[in-house]
Amino acid sequence: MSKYIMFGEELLQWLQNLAKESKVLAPVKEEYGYTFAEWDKKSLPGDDYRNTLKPPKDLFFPQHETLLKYEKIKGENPLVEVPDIPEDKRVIFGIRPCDASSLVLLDNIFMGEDYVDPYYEARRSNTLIVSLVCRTRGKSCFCEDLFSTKGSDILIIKVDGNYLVEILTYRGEAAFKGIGSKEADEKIVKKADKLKRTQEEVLDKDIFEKLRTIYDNPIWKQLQEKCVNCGVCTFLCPTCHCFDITDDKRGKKVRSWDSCMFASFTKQASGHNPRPTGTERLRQRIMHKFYYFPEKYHDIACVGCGRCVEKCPVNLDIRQVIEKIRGCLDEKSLSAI
Amino acid sequence: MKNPYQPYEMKVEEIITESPEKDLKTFYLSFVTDQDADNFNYIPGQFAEISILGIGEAPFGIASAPCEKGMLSFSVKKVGSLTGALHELEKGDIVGVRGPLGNGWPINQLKGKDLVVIGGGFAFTTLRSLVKYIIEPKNRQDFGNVDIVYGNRNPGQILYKKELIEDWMNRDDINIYLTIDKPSEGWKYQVGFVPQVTEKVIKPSQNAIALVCGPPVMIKFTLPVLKKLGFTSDRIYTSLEMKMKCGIGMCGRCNIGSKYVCKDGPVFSMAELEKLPSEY
Ligand SMILES: Cc1cc2nc3c(=O)[nH]c(=O)nc-3n(C[C@H](O)[C@H](O)[C@H](O)COP(=O)(O)OP(=O)(O)OC[C@H]3O[C@@H](n4cnc5c(N)ncnc54)[C@H](O)[C@@H]3O)c2cc1C
Ligand code: SF4
Ligand code: SF4
Ligand code: FES
Repeated sequence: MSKYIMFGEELLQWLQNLAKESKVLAPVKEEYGYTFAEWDKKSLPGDDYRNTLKPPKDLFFPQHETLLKYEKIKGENPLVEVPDIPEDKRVIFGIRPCDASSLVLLDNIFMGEDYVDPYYEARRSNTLIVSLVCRTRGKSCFCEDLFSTKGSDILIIKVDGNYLVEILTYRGEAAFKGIGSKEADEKIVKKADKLKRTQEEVLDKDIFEKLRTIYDNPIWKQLQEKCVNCGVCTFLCPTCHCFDITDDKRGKKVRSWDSCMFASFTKQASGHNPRPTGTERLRQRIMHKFYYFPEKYHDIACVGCGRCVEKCPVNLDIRQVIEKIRGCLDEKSLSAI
Repeated sequence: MKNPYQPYEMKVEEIITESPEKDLKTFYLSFVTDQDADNFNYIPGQFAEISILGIGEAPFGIASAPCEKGMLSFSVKKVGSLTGALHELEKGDIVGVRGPLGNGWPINQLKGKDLVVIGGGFAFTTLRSLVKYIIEPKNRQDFGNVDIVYGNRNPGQILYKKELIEDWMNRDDINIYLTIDKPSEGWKYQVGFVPQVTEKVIKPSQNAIALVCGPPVMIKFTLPVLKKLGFTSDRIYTSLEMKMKCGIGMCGRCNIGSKYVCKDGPVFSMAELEKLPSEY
């Protein structure tokens, strides 16, 4: 599809136009970091913007969500209804390509062949994804491809102070219709291609098909030693999708994020727990991302956003975990992280 | 597509207390509308999430059979908050039912085969559904011989006593062996644990398939007996229990390796389970 070149002013104008008929969400700086919030209609994200604190799954599969509302009526059948699912059109501007690709992974779960989650689907189908490529990787990041187009309708790359706009989908094309922007010339496209070629490989993730062979290896116990099972790594992970469903006593059935790092997650009513200690739980987290998910959906469930690296209270770095596993698969000696 | 979180409303028509301890009850529920009854198409071995507003939801195997139109039945052991609240219900109360969920017994693979149905305790629910389905006149010719071994600690624990003793015991198109762990006064049937009784009474044919449901210890000791009787892993099926919430493969808590027990199961062959991590 087409590629255009835009000045900062033009980009702003285009977004302002979009904001007339859609709600535009963009990274906004708050006390603890960036968050996706309603765009102020005047500024573009600053140079210090690396990524948002919370992953974008929150915009599609919110941390807390009412699935059903109910009312008990004395002497009559209770009233149960689905709350209105917001139908307004949205644009997410400035999402990072790693995060955009996480949405494609989540689609496998929430919009599968057998069941479709209507809340997630409604938001997905109403939202245009305009991603903004990072200039360099952050110190915790390890995405495979800085310029990944997966999950984006439009991808924007800053080249020489201007914006190279790549239209990737029909939805993206529709949002760009009638804009008098210049098609990008060969020179600028070449320049962007050169940027793409020079990015270095961060983590070699080709080892994972062998993960099953170390399922019973003592390495898992060693790897989890300092983990306090707080679950932060999973809550902040853009691809983690575990949730709980509870009834609040005031007429709502609520879904909230949950985590495989908690003992209660799999504990059965009999008291039996298939994952009784941190060892099984860390193994589950890693195996799910790099072995089970790929087995089912042919893609690893980690986009390298680095949130878990950044926010783990005990600095349990998933990149080091992967390296240790590689060492183990290579039958090299193990040493504590 | 239906919102998978929205339950059907069902009315409690009858409650049978199954055990002298009163911790086991069977609930007979009817659909509130005919349309719901038509939409709820299930096969034996599937389960449903039963909900009580303000309390929560939990999964239960469907004990009724598809031919029992317009209603569903569930046998529930009281162990916690939702099961506790279910036990408080009275005739006429309304509950929510979400389903049918899961894969169910592999009916097509069972066709033309001799079947050995082995159950222990209150896990007999979906096996009852299966047998009820098979003995339905229009289905019976699709299956070979049916042998049933059903064991309990004592006679008081047996589910569906009336049906089992008054009907199934007297049928000539199935053989049922009821057993209790220790001798008890007035008991006329088998005595001994399920694995031993199975070994004693079952003479399986070459192509027979075993369907096993019960407490973990029973399964543990029954499997070697089945192997001894010549059953290969691909001819032994069981139904698993895991902690569940969504029941539709989304909430992430019931996986064994890359399989979600709620959606890819709960029924698995031993051959399938042998390929998965032993995390259940
Ligand atoms: C596919 C499937 C089919 C099933 N079919 C059936 C069925 O047909 N019939 C049936 O009865 N059950 C069945 N179950 C099990 C049933 O789902 C659970 O018993 C039910 O979820 C319990 O819910 P609850 O809210 O009553 O218990 P909860 O209140 O959620 O569970 C009790 C919690 O408290 C803890 N707890 C409870 N009692 C004690 C105690 N004494 N000491 C310490 N801790 C305790 C437990 O660890 C548990 O976490 C099935 C499960 C699955 C997955
Ligand atoms: S595992 Fe860590 S780095 Fe990978 S996607 Fe999740 S939060 Fe990001
Ligand atoms: S954030 Fe760190 S300490 Fe917390 S559960 Fe994840 S790995 Fe363990
Ligand atoms: S119960 Fe939610 S994934 Fe199985």
